[in-house]
Amino acid sequence: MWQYLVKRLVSLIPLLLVVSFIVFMFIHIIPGDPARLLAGKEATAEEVEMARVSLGLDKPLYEQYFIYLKDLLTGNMGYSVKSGAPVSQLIGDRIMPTLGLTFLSIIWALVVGILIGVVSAVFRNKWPDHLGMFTAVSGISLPNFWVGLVLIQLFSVQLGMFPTGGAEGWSSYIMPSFALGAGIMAMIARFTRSSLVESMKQDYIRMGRAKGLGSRQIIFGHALKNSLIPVVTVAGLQFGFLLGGSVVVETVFSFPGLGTLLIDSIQFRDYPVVQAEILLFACQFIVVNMIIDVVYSYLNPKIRYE
Amino acid sequence: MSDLLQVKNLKTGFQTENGFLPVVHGISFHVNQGEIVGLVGESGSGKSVTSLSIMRLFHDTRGKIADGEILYKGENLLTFPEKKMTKYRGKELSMIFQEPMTALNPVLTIGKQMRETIMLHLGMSKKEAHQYAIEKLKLVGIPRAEQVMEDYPHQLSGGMRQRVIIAMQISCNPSLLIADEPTTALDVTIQAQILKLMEEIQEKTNMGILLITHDLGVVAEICDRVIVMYAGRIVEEASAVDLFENPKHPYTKGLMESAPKIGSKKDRLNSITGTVPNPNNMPKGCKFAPRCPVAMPICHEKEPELMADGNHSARCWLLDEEVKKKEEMLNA
Repeated sequence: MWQYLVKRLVSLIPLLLVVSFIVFMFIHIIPGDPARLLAGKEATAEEVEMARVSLGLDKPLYEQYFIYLKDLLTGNMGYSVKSGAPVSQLIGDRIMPTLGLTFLSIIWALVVGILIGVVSAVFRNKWPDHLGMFTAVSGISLPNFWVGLVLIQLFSVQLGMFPTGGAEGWSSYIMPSFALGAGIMAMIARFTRSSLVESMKQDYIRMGRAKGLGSRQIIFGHALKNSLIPVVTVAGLQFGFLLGGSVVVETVFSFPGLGTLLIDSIQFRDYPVVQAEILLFACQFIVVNMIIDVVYSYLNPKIRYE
Repeated sequence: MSDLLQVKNLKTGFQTENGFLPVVHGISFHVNQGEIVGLVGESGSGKSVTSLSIMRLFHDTRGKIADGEILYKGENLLTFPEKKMTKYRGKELSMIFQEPMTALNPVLTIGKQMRETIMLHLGMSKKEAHQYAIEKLKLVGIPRAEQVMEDYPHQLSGGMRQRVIIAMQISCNPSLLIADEPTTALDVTIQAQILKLMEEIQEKTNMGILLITHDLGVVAEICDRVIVMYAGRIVEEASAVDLFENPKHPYTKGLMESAPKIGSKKDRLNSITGTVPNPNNMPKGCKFAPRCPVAMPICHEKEPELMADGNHSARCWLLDEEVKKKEEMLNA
């Protein structure tokens, strides 16, 4: 197991290098003079030249990349054009609320999704199944910004139970995480259901029954672990998208996370911040994928021993 | 010898969109304590459905037992509530399946799957069950049993897996073991080993075994008595010796002729022409008549009863003296 983990970690290094290179090139690929972009729209010609030298943009490209890598490793991601604050600090302020929001969303989506999926599979084609799948279809079909707006109208404006936005205390996390997780919950429910139904048809299930196992042992002891393999894949991918994709929900709830920071930065053409966020999202995706692989190998011994 | 299992007039079939489709048509047979009974037939003859009926393993399928009795030690299993039946499965009656590759759960260790049954039926602690399971694995000839307990199914060969399954299914000392084509998916050399193992276990434990197979070679190897099935009916029943010396039903004869023989100079094997009739479209008279080389007019009209001659019975008009006489007169 440890061997597998180390192998996976080592294989990340080239991937991270490629990602960092693409992100580094971002500022050179977009049209226009990078020094002007970074100095800001109102900068004079002199200021642009000063920026070029101070940012090292007069050096050859490969040297710039190495400097960029070195800075990254020391936590220096440049300075915001808008506020002049270090990008690392801006990100640092926003990362915890977003992480909290995504974790909350994925956890409730997993718990409820798997539960609905199992119930639907066990009571296949009976009313609990129909109810569960109706919930799932709703979750997939309703766009999260709409869910967010309805929640605000209902629970904040009408009932006054939760704040309309911000990230002050746990109550401000409830509605955004619900809006964010609904679609994922629905997808997990559907995958769990179909996967469990499929597992229940397998020979080892009949064998389990021939051994004298009861339905509960059959479902939870034998079928579910097999069924979770595809579910983990879906959940993991969704989680990766969530980290970057909470932009819409964060905007609806004016939630001070990475999503709103990204929107602000794009609107202001604050390229160092945008660049850092892209890198961050890419890394998060890679890390999530790695975690999925590890969970996957736990669930499926065939992978572990290859 | 007492009847361990007695199947009476069992009718099983599948619930389809067009109503109930019978697959097993009122068969009756028995298995004694300490006896190995072979249930032989082609694919589609209803032999697997019969075995699943005895175990009542039609969960999540459209299978349904429509009529009959299955008496196990005198108790009718078909009247048991599911909960009681669950307690009997694996403890009183056990089953081995055809596909050792898929019958074990791929994500659980052999140990977990072995202990599960033992803890459930024999009420042992995890530790006791572990030791007990190792003993059982050794009993079925698995080398380094301690190590195998930690292995996952994909790390074992087909033959080893079938041994594990046998160990698992006999671990709670069932009185009846149903083996549904236990050697079909295995190499020939492994087949012989598994059969020998089953025979040894049977001798040690005196359990009754119902061996389902399409392979007469397997039957000749270990069975005491044989039941031949065709199209959901029993067409012949006799002791193994009797059946091989004196097969009475043309279908049984056909099966025997289609098996390769050492020393035969023929280039091609004999085969029974045609296929088993579709349950949706059964012929009117004897179900084998359309494929039978010696069919008479009456065979297409009326289905014969199972006619007994001592302990040897067959379902064929040729055994009916009157019909035979009439036929001879017509031919003369």
